[in-house]
Amino acid sequence: MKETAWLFLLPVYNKGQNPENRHVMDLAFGVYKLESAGISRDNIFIAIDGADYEKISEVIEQFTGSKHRIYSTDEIETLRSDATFCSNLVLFVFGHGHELGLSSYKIITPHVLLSEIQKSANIEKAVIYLGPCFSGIFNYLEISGQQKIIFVGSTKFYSSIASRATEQVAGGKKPSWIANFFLLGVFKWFSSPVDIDGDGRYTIMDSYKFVSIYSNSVYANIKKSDFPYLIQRIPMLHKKLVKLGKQYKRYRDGFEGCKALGWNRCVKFYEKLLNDTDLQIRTIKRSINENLEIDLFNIQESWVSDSTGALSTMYVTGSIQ
Amino acid sequence: MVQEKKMGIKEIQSGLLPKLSKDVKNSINSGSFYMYELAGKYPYAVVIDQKAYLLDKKGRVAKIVQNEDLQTEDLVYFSDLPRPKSLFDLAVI
Repeated sequence: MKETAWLFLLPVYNKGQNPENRHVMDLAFGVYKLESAGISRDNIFIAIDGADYEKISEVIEQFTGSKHRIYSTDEIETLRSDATFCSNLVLFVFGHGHELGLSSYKIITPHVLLSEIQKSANIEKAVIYLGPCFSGIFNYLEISGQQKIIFVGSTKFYSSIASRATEQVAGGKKPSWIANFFLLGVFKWFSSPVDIDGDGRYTIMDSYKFVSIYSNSVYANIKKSDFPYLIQRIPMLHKKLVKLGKQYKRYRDGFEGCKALGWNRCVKFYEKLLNDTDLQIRTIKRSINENLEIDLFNIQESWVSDSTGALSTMYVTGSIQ
Repeated sequence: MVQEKKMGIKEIQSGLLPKLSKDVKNSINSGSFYMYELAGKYPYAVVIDQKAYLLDKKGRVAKIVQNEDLQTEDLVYFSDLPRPKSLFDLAVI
């Protein structure tokens, strides 16, 4: 049986900065679920951009129960050489999308991603699951050559949706984070595949159909459960935000006044009040924005680039064939 | 050599931080923000994007620093406030 490389990729927009925690958690959860489903850790490769690899590595260890080597995207050639024993590739893409590609300090355009896969001469089949926003720009590509390359995207030209979730990870721990539920659905299918079209095989087409239904069901659930919050809480939070804004201005005036007079104790007093109010304002703004963006102004519509390829590419535990 | 403590996941009672607002506590439990235990002068930090709000022992914000400069320990949630449900376990088919 041909070996498959399972690659988890998380690029970051600003070089030298860490990725967002939630994206690392999405990735770590995927690694945990795939390992739990019987995929060998020797076939799992993780590429993340960041500054503090110790911190990133600890999150992954918390979720999976063991340490993993993390490559940076500058080490793609090393990764490619370490994975030459694999003939097939499944790539999961995390992080932010961009209207020109994947949000990275060197934007990964669809053409760049495709070329990188095509450069790996040992790869015969590649399936790419794209979690980020606007992943539809990776569709409708001209793919030449002998390799079979299939893209499955979370959404066409909308933001990708993430929502509050608490999931069980290694050792029974239960972290909560804002999880990308398209990718969660992909991991759910690989953990316990469903033959949706009933042809007696688990194919990439089944995974696409499954994750599409899963994403829409989760989204409908979120909308239903958030509805009372939207109509009751959001107007209340708006009022609170106005009040906190006025309060912040008063404290800032007090702070500036004390500073001008050189009253240091008074400066410290106002500084604490300002910091407290700042945290409350950010909390409420985030809460309002998350709910409005998720519940009102979005559509989640997954897609697959090559239906013939998706139908003929099978998943047999541990690998695609 | 001092061995640094590794990140874990733990829960505390919300009453331990009486000065931290309930909105912030709920955002921590929902996973929008992350609260970490710290080893130094300030016992906890609430991390939002690149900013870290260092809390005193009652939960007041004592200082704001850059997240990158922080040496964090356990990830903390509140045991007596609601947490989101699992999306992974949602039966759809």
